Amino acid sequence: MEIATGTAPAAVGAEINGPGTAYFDQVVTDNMMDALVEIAAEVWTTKDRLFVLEQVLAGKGIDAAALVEAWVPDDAARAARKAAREAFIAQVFASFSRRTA
Amino acid sequence: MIATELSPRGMIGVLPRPSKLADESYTDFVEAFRDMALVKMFPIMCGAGHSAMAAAGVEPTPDVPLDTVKQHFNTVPVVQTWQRFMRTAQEMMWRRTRASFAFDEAGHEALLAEWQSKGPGSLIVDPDFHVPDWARREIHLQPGGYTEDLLSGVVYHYGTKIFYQGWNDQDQLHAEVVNLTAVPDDGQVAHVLEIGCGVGQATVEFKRRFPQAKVVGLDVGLPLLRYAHMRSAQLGADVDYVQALAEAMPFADGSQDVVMSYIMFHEMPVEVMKGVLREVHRVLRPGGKFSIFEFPSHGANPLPPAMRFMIDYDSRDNCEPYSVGFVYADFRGLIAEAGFEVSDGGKPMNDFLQSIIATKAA
Repeated sequence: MEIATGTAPAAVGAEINGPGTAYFDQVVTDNMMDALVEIAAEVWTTKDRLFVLEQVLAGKGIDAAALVEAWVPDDAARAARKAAREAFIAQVFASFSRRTA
Repeated sequence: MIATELSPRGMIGVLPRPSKLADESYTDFVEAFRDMALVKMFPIMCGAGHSAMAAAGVEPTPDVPLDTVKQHFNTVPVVQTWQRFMRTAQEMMWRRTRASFAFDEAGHEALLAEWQSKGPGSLIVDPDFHVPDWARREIHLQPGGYTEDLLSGVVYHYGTKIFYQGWNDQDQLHAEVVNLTAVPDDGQVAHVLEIGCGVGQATVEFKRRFPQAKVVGLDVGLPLLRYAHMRSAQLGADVDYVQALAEAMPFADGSQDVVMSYIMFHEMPVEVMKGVLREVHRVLRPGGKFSIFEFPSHGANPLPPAMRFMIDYDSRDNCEPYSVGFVYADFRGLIAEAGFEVSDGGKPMNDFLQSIIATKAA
């Protein structure tokens, strides 16, 4: 028995990677909402990592806060942080290139 | 504790950890954010939508056509925001979960392949099996759904961990529904079958409850079953998994003492549902029991506009293509039509499920 009930996805992730769904009259509002939630997720992820890191280091007798304030980056660290920053911006603001109508 | 290479960060009990702490933190955020939208915002959204209808001179009663409800609700900013948040949370959950466990797809395939031939238990696959199109949808927006993605098993497992909001990290809810599953009045249980078994979370628990019985999990999704078998074998559970349609099962008439389904029926067309009910009746022995744990169905009962709006949203934008058919079907009537005597089953602690026992006459 074959039931006609729509089509299977053309590719894995077609539902979440397609053009997306808009709920506001002006799609920019949808994009801003997505960006807001992505930023909040990233803020939490960072806070959580700092919490874990400080716990791990404190267990080793290391005062991470003082060491972090005194740290000076070299060229490689600057480049790595720049790449990570660009990836962060691409993630948070992905909706603005996804829904453009 | 399972020892696997599902994640370089190992397991917590029976749950694989995301491959990076950042993924775990991110999905923890999504879990809490989704809870905020679902629990705190939902009543606000309902009230605002009803107020908008009333302000336009439309009494928000159950008989208002859905299109009219949507027309009014969709002009309310908090309703638009609620839909945006629900959809965004779901997309974020699946995107990050899949990415986290896709750190080595070839390695994942090798891991599943290695365990496919190991026991205890077995994985039975018919090479000529055809997955019908209705079953190939990306249900709940999960990438590849249950049938199309190598990673469907582990992604479903961790994605639903987020859905359960911490109640089921160690399969507690699955253990509870297994313990609530009805047995024949004579107490004889030699064959137990779970249909729509997914990644085998309840199937394993059935083996714990009935160690002397032959326990089988059946599902349409091969990626889910490969993961289920690996997981069961690692846990030492002698369980067999079969890829087949629940409406055409490779079991003899009257061969099963106990059958169970857990939140399966709302994910299939009503016509398929009827076939499944007939088929379960066929494979159960006289006096056999079929326990059904399922989301609510309302039949012809009147529902307020906001509830119908939410059901429509979930079907349309959370890829639940069959849930509307299920929700408004006379589910108990269909079970009785298949030949069963229908009664209430025990309710799990988490009260969102309906629990039904369908008994085949002795």
